[in-house]
Amino acid sequence: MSIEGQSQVDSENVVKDPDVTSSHAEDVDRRFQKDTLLTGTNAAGYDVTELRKQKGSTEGAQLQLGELLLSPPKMPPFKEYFKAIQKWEGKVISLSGDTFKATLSPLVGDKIVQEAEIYIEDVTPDERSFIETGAVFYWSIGYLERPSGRRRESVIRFRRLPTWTSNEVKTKKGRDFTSYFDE
Amino acid sequence: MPQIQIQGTSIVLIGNLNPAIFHPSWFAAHNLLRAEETDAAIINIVHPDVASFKIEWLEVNIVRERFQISTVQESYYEALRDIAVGILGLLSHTPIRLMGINRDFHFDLVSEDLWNVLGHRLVPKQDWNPLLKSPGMQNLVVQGVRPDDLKGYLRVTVQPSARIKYGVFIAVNDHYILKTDEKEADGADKARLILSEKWDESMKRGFDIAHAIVKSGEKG
Repeated sequence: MSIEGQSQVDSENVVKDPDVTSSHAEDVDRRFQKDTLLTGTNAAGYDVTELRKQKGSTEGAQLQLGELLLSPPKMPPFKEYFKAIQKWEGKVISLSGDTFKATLSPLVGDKIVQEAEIYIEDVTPDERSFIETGAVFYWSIGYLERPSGRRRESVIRFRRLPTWTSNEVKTKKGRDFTSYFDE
Repeated sequence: MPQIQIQGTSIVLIGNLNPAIFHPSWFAAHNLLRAEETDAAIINIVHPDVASFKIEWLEVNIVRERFQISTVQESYYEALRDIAVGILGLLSHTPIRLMGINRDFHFDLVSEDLWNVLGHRLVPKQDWNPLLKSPGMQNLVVQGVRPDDLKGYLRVTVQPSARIKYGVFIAVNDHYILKTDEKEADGADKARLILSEKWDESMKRGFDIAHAIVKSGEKG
């Protein structure tokens, strides 16, 4: 590898092919890209020279809004990154006073299910309405890496999913998943 | 020992979307995000052609053909998936053709030596040396067929990290073709099912691929 072309890497991660679902960003903070201007790229869609020629720089992409050409302001980059040491999917099994009991299934590593009692206070106030028997939540313990230093953190977030309708359940549950993809 | 320094996950949907509806308040109204989160959103733009905003852990970028949500907070990967599943449930008649579940990693390879060894391992230089002076790998993209019986492919991108000195960036694009015929109407349903049923598999696959690539450098 070579370090010399690092500024080029930014532009190489621009999505040029509308059918490419890769976010293709070496820098996960800057993915807001649009392909309308990126014409004339080669079939594989990795023609960096063409991109630079179009934009004149490696900075953010432009958008064609009707007759207007817009350069949206760049998003402030994420400066904090959470590194999980362990993640669990939890399921509330009972509530009692200021705590609730839950089963915890590790999302990574050995799938040994554990049981835990968690203080309701550990849950963000506006998430507490989700605490009921059967509710699913995700619990991560890890480090928050910040410019000012590393901080140990625990994050609990309850699942927010629209409920499947009984009709959906009837028609989709038990159906062979791969049958969707039969020709 | 190479270590992941930064990682992220994104979900990309390609289809016909209506960006104007994707205002942070819409996410809150449908209980996809907390009101406190959306109240603090940094809104880049919400327009009939584009919606772009960011909250503490989530970045949302939507244009008419493309929907993209991403996070670099590992603790929110499942929440990211749930948002996509929720939106696809709410907008189940939206034509969606393609979906990508993407994992991105920045590994710190610690030393220049290990960094070069991995580059040489992935793109051997003996054939390039006669053509270029001091050739260096800038962008390697390899695509393979899916390991399951769904339509699509796996595409892996490897580049020098722009974030970490002697780091490598690896992106794994788990690409699903949801419909090939415009008349097919259930792309959103398929996407929702894949996200619900295949998420863990996809996340693990991306992680395993990235680790295997980095480990291959250790073998020299």
